[in-house]
Amino acid sequence: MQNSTDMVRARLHLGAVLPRIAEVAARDKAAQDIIRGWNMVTQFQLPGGDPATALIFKDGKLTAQPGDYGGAKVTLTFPDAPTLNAVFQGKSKQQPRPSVNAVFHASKLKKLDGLLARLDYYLRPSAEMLKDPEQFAFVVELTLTVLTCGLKYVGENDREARPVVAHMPEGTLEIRVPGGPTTHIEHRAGKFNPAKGSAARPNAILELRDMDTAWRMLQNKVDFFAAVGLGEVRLKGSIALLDPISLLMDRLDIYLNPK
Amino acid sequence: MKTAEQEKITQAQETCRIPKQLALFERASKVIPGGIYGHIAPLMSIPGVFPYYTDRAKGCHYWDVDGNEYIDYMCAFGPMVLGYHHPKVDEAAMKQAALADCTNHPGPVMVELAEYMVDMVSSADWVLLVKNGNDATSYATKVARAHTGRKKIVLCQGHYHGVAAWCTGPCHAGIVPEDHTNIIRIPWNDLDAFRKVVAENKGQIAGFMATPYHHPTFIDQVMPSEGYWKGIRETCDKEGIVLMVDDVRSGFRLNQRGSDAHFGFKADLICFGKAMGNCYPISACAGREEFRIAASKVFHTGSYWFAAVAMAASLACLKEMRDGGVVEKMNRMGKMLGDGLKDAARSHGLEVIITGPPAIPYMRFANETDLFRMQFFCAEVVKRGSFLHPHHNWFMCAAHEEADIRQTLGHADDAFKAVKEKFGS
Repeated sequence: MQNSTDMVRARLHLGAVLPRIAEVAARDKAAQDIIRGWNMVTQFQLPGGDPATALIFKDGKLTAQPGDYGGAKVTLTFPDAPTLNAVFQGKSKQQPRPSVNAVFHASKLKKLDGLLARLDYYLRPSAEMLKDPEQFAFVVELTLTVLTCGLKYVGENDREARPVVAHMPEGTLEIRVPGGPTTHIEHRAGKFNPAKGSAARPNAILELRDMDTAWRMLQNKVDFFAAVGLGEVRLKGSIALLDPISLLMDRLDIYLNPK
Repeated sequence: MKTAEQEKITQAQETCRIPKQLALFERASKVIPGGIYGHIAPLMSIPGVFPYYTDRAKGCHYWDVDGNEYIDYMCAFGPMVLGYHHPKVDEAAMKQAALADCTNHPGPVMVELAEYMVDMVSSADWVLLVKNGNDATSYATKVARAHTGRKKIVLCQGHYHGVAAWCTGPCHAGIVPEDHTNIIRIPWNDLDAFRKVVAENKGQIAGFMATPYHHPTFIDQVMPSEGYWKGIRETCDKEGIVLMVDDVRSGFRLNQRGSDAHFGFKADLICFGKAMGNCYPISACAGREEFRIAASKVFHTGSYWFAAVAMAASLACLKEMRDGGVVEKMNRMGKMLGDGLKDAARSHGLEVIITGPPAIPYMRFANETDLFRMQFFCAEVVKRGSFLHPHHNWFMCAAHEEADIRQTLGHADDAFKAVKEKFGS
């Protein structure tokens, strides 16, 4: 159960998707309006607190912290992984069960749905939004970050990926779009550490020629072999590291976009 | 009116050394998934620098569609062993083609080739002829299971036996965990690991398959440690496990009697391909007498497996290899290349590591494992006219002459200089 398909998907939703709300709140006026003046910690979780992600609101700013937040907090607990996943996939509106102390933040918690809708707004962008270069750039960056962070949860928890990870070399892969976003993910002994920005010393580089290519790749609409041959995608460095990560990307797609 | 995307591609084509090939690849990408797929896909090399399409080939040289010439150290990834368009092999093939190729029945040449291989190959009492290496390795696993009545096959991690579901790594597209239900993978060169899985699966293991030495991509090759094959052989004999050697890549480049003979043991089943036909499509699984009945019971066939032209070519190829001192020459030329590369690197203050047999070398820079230098080096060498691969072992052939090696070392010298300038060390 701990690493069932539903549980891995729940880890992805809480660990890779939900934290992106902080990036949305940093630029989206509607989100900023909602959280103005908030000072509280709200933790979304499954029973027992694993997995969990805390949203830390402080003076109108929002940061997200995957994992159990140690200090005082309001917890919002989904009954199980399938329910959590259904909510994150927009298939259910079931509310998580709040902790007793939620009563002190009731008015804010009522607005949480509106805040999370802003995340959904960017992660499921309209065709109109994608025509706006600035919005498009943010959507690409946000989605690339979901992918990079998602690799951690698939790499560490997916049973089918276990033999791949077991023989994967250690090192850091950098994913970048010249003039656009850059992320990287480090692999050490079966554990993955994703981050935004450039790596100090990447062992492998996956470079996407432009934002259009990046977006098509993130939508799983790129013939990867052909794109590399055409120079749309460039691979450098340790192919032995890139190769298993590409397999993890395929697994990630299965979790995030179930057919 | 070109789209922005097409304009970008056109610009890239104009500034690169392979414009016609990129244009061809662009067409291909519209009608062929991946454009070029598999082990020769541009993704596996240095896209935009390495050639994509061959125009013609002769000896150890070939020309791409843009007219660039290369001294070839990949040899079609192994199948070319005597040189492209070897006169004796081509003559035998053409002679057979004039008679018959793919018909309702095999030609007499099938018997002649099988007899020749049984005489030549150390562990062959019989031979079954197929087309690709994976046909042979898949057949071998079936024979092992038919012979023993057991299910499990033990493989070594990182050994390549083809693309059938049973031997493709986990998580690849189209592969499900159940494909590997009866596959156990252990580390190469680890006799204790083998004995352990044998003990844990007593009476369940049909066969053990491995390449004669470790020749993975991206990392150093590793020869069998002292006593490894002897220990494997003994354990297999004791436990009734069929010992299968996948000699598709290295077969007839180490020893014309097979690589098991080279390493001093006898396989139960041994698979050949690549070097046995000098680019004509043919592979084989050979086996010892005690597996003949099981081999005869396994149903295994293909539309083109009995085509006679490749068999005639293979017979001519194997005769030339046996009579012409080919193995010795390939290893001599490989040593000259390896020693020369080390010296050239050293002269620029660089160090390279070369592993594997001289006829099938793998090179990397000593101070890196992520291959940035190697990729840059090979791109520079390719631009100058020698085809060296950054990720895969190279192959020597009998057509390589000292003049070719010297020319390549000249290309390498320039490339090492460029590496030094770019990376510093």
